[in-house]
Amino acid sequence: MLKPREAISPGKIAWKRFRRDKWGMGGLIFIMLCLVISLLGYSITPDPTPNADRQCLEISLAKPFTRLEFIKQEKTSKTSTGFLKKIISGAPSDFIYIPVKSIQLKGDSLIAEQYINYRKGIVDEQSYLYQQEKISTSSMSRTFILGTDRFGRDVLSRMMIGTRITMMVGFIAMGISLLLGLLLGALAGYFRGWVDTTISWLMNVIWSIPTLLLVLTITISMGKGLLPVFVAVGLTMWVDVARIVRGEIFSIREKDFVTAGKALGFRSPRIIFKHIVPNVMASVLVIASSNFAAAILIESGLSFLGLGAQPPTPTWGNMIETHRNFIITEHAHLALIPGFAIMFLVLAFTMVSNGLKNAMDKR
Amino acid sequence: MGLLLDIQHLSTSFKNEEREFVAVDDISFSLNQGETIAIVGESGSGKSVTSLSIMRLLNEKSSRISGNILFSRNGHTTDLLKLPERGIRRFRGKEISMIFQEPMTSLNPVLKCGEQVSESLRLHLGMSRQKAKEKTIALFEKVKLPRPEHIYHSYPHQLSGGQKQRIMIAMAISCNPSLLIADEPTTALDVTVQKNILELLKEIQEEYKMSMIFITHDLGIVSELAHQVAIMYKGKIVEAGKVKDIFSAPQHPYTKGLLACKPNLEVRWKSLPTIHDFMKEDEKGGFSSTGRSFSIQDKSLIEDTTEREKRLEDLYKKEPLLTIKNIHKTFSIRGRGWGLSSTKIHAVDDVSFSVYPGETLGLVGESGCGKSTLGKIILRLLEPNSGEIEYGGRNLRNLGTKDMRLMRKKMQVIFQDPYSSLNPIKRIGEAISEPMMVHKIYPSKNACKNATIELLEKVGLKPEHYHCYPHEFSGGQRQRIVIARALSVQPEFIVCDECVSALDVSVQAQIINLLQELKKQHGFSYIFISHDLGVVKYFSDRIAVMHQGKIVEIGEADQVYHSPASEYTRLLIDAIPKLVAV
Amino acid sequence: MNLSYILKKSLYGLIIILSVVFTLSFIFFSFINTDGKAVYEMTGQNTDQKTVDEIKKAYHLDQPVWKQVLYYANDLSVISVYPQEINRRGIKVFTTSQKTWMIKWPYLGKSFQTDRSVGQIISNAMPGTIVLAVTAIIFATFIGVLLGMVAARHQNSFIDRSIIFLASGGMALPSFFAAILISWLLGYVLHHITGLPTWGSLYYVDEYTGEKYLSIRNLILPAFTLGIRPLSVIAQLTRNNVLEIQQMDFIRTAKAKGLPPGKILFRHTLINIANPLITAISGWLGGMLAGAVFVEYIFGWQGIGKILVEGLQKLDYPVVMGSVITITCLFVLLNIIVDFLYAVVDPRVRLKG
Repeated sequence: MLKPREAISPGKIAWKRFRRDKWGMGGLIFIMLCLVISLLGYSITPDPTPNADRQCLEISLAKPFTRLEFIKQEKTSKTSTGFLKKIISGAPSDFIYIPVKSIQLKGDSLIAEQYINYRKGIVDEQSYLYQQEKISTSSMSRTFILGTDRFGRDVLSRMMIGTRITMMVGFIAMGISLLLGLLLGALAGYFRGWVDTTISWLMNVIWSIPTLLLVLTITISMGKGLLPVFVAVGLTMWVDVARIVRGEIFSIREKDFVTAGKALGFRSPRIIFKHIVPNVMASVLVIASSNFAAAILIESGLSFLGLGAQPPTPTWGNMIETHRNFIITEHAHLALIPGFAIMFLVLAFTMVSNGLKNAMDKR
Repeated sequence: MGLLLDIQHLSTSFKNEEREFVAVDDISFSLNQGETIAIVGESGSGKSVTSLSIMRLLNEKSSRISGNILFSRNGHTTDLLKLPERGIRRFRGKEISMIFQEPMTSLNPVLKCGEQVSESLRLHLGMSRQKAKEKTIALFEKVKLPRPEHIYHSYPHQLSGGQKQRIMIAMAISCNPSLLIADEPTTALDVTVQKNILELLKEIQEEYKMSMIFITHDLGIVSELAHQVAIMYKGKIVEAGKVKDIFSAPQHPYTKGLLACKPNLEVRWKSLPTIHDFMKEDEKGGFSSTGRSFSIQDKSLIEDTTEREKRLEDLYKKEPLLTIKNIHKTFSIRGRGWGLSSTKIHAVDDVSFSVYPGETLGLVGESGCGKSTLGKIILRLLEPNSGEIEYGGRNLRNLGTKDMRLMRKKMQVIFQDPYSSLNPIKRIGEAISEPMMVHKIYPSKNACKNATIELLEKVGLKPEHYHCYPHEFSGGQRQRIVIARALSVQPEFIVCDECVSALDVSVQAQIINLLQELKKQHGFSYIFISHDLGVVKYFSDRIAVMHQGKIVEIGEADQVYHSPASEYTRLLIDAIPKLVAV
Repeated sequence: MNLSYILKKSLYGLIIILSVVFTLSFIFFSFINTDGKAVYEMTGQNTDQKTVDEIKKAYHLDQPVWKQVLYYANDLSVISVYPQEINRRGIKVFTTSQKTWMIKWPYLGKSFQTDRSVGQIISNAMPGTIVLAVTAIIFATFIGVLLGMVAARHQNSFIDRSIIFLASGGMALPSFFAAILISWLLGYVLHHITGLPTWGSLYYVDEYTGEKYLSIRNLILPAFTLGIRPLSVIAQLTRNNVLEIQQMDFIRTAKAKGLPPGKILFRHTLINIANPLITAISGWLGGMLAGAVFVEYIFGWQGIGKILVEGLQKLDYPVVMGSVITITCLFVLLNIIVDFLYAVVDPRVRLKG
């Protein structure tokens, strides 16, 4: 008797074919990477403060791979944050970091050559009574892999936290659109008649409004913040899902195995959920990943315009907006890096979507 | 009458990312001018690939062709395989033409029909637009299209299948080719339309002194149309020669099997011969004869007519199992405008008959006559506009949903397309045991599973197949699975809606035998729907002939066939290509 | 194609427009803070309560949502009814003691910021956007179809893969980022080669004479940027459709007739992709109108998008509403026209045989 594992399901065949698609696999790996970064959050960012918002105007606009020395000064009021909270929303720092060019110990004073403006190389000598003022006696160095932004914040940390917002918006928006789209599309496709007419009318109305405009309308009405973004993006993208689901269901319900199900005395719910819907999931997967990509694009556009997540929360979109004018300076990377990040993530999802489509192609 | 085409050691193989597949394996044959050779085979035999290889219409990148295809014309002989692409184009459409199987998709949907034919004329014969148009209209007259002028300006979607095929023929003969390749041109057409098209082809061939390669699976057509025949199986030609010789004294076991497994119209075998009765295959692909022969002289193989009469007499004494009265079903097609004007189609027009327990009622008709619709109505998969359906004394139309669901256990259906009848993502064991569990036929899941395995064996599959998915099976095997699934609810009455029409002739014979066996074992009653009168006559006790929604004749099978009462039945019988000599 | 087809489609389109307008305004009005916050944003924080109340009343902000929607619809509609005191320009048709019925152009309100009529603001900005969008789409269609055909012809070759890659990249590029990139690259870094500006609108006003001049140079970069995404989509679509059609039976027939590949491509294949192509283009028109928002904003191109963004930033609600509704109606109209285009291009739609 053959063991169940020996038979090859259509799903496994599709997965095997997908694995051979280099672009698709590459996209998938990149997405996994971003997912890991989002989940690990503050535990892996060089700057673990909430929103990676450790501003240090003295070292603003430092180039990538800048290595700087710091001395720490303990703050008078400290906060302690739980472990979980640390990962999720970051821990405010207990120290003030002061960038120095060099330090010297003289008795109970610490003489530091502090940077007033790192870029222009302006320093100032300061003397601290390190015991009293609670200053560390040795310096630590940090390398800013991607440099610092106009407020002296670590760009790499901000990019990592930004990943989280992007993934979150994409995920939730995609989830909402899939749920709504599947449900409404299935109802319209299976029952037809007036159910279909109503849902199609609704689809047409929403589809007639250019997505961005609808999203803008909703977000401006609901105010700033992330919630309107979720609602708006999810509410607009379900139409694509519903359309495809409806179309697929139209074609599947004509198939003989559905009629056979009726002839065998199966009830409608069984036919819909056990026979029709699983066959639609293939197309749904394809559109899920392309919807994810679309959601990311819309979110970045919104945060560029100042809607969505508000500063100091870093999103790739508002990072571009903050540094938009630097594009003509030597610090163009500050606007370009987040832009390319968006592009690569969207590209990754598109490649996955294409790969899935090709893998499930019956030919 | 010189040699026109000489094919030597032609082999064609296809490469995809995983493996190489040999479709045509070292075949050779030749054709003289004015002659017709028929290439016969079932699906997968390589017959279509052969014709596409001759015309070099295969994808150059994924196919490999080797051998020689020598074409002689006006004293010149060219090897078609050695020509560059530009060279072979001069032959295509001009010296060698081809018509295909699917007329519905073979014409460009957005260009006018006439223009598609004129295109050939202008390309190969350099005619001007006006002249080409005139010639096209003349061609349309020749292929007996009504109102040629009007058809010139029509688009393909406005015409019927038969009309489109005539246009394809016009296109093919437009430049007076010496060779016409016809790849199953009538398989997709109704049998009466097929008759006309075949007559047309014969006329044209005689008039133009054209040679023809006619590809088909229907031996009757071969008999009526061709001088020579080549039988193909798994890429090889297993037997070739004059039609008369091959059909009267076939040598190869495959040929013998092929000739025998199509239901004989004169005598009724007790069980249809299949290829396996004649031929054994070993793993290396070699064939050997089983040595059996089916002779109509052998009385043990043939059903005795007196036995049949007695059986039928007993059968009709009983109360009918199913009675339908005055069934009407109309569909409306939305016309133009605001939907107010719409044409009504009377799919089923006042149909009444009964089916007796243990009977097989054959329902035969051409496409669009309403037979499938009627089948669905009987099972209440479609609601009729009016009429009554009585099963086992109960009025089906009055039944509530719950009762109807219980009734469904007794009435089952098997559909035509083995590829869409099974849910592709469900293992077949689950597909068969699901109805058992829904109707709680067995007390436990395990009991259902065991019952399923029994059913699998009953239909000729193996227990291991329980865990397999539909895509791992062939068309014939899938039909067996579908039959097993229908049996899972222990029905009494089964509607077979063209359930063998999509299968190869040899597989068809196997499935029909299986249905016969099951009927003997369980005492089923069948309604057997088909467009193939020969198969229906073999399998049925009574035949009902349907035409445009009406039953034009109903009676005992042999009687209807040998002494048809209605004109339409006569037309149908006439149109069947008859196999001469056996 | 007969009259009833046109009428049916137009009627359905009208229903859609009406539904859209109501939906949008409903969403809008339901969420705007009616406790006066909107008013404060309009007038500044230090306004006395009396002024606030007056403004509220004038803009109907104190009414329930459905009433606000109706007021807005009344303003928009061609036939309206107003109380006597309001003066709107139009033809008075019927007067009672309290109300006047009149026929007028749709009224979109007045800008909170500048107090100019929104309708006027929009009609000044429209030509800019239309010119931009049309140019972008023509560019995208021609180049896109060309690239798609080339890719299909050389399937799986290096050219094909590069084109697919570029097209995917083009679709993945957020439009605002593309605008920034291109204005930087081509307008700044390579300015000495291209000579194109990073900022500018359709017309520029000469400082001395005050006359308006048409500036095509300003059009090039924004149109190019706006066209990148539709171009990528069209290229991919063309490629996929051409490949799909090449597999079809009637192409096999054409080959069997001995037609050369060029003729097969142009006469037989291309016409068949017109249908899906039109579907894609019409779908993308909406995306384009939205993308125009960013492009106009970054390139300083005077158009509805720029108006919209500025309105958003300044919370100028009438402007935002008016722009959104105008763009949407345009879009619906365009789709109706596209429906007719189908009938022209595809005989199967034209003649329901």
